[in-house]
Amino acid sequence: MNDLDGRLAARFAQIEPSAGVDARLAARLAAERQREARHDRAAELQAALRPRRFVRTLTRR
Amino acid sequence: MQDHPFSLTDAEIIAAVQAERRDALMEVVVPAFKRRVYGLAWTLLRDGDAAEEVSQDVFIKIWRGLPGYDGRAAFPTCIHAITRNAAISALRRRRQLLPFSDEATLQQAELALAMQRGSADAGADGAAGPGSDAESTAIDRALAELPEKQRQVVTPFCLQERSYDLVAQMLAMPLGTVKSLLHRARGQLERSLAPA
Repeated sequence: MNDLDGRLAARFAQIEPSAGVDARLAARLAAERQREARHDRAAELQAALRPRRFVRTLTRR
Repeated sequence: MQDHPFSLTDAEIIAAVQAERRDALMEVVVPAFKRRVYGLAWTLLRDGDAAEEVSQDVFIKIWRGLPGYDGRAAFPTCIHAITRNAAISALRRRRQLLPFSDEATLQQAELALAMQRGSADAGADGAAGPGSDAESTAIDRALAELPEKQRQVVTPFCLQERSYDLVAQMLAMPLGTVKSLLHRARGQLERSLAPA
């Protein structure tokens, strides 16, 4: 490793996220999981309701 | 197995996702990549807060995208590409807010801003892109003065990614272009950092 590489490596070793970044990311991931779970539930609900709507449409005629 | 510090193979990642162990996987992925993701974002944005925001967006995107990961590209390559794209998008959004129209003026303004932030960070205990000493400031300035493409190539090497092939894949650039940009970047850095 030459001098330039050593200096750059030393500098980049200092570049790191602030304390608390893991907790903030964990909170965002938890919110994302909840959003995804809501989305999945909504999709399931829509799928479950679809045949009823179809029958309702038929019986209205 | 790819030649990188991440201990899982791409096949193991796919298996973990298929077994719906996405969350457990993130417990491995985040510690393995957070410094590299943040480091790359910071080098492109030169702003600790923005780099952290981009890093978080990157991991959320990875978490969302894991079920679709098919192993065609190596996992670290994907992460690097997502980070670079997210940082460049953030950079573009920031530039749209600035009343500058040409690249040179923008780079100068960003350099000035980075130097200003560097001084401010010296007294703050927030996100460190930082480093308050003269050596850090000199290196930051030298990196900031590199043309953007050279900076994109030099960063993975600074972050301990030593494979030219992998860096070429990460940046979606031909191998020859990576070597040439790195050569030019190193030359400019050596000149900028030479003792006066």
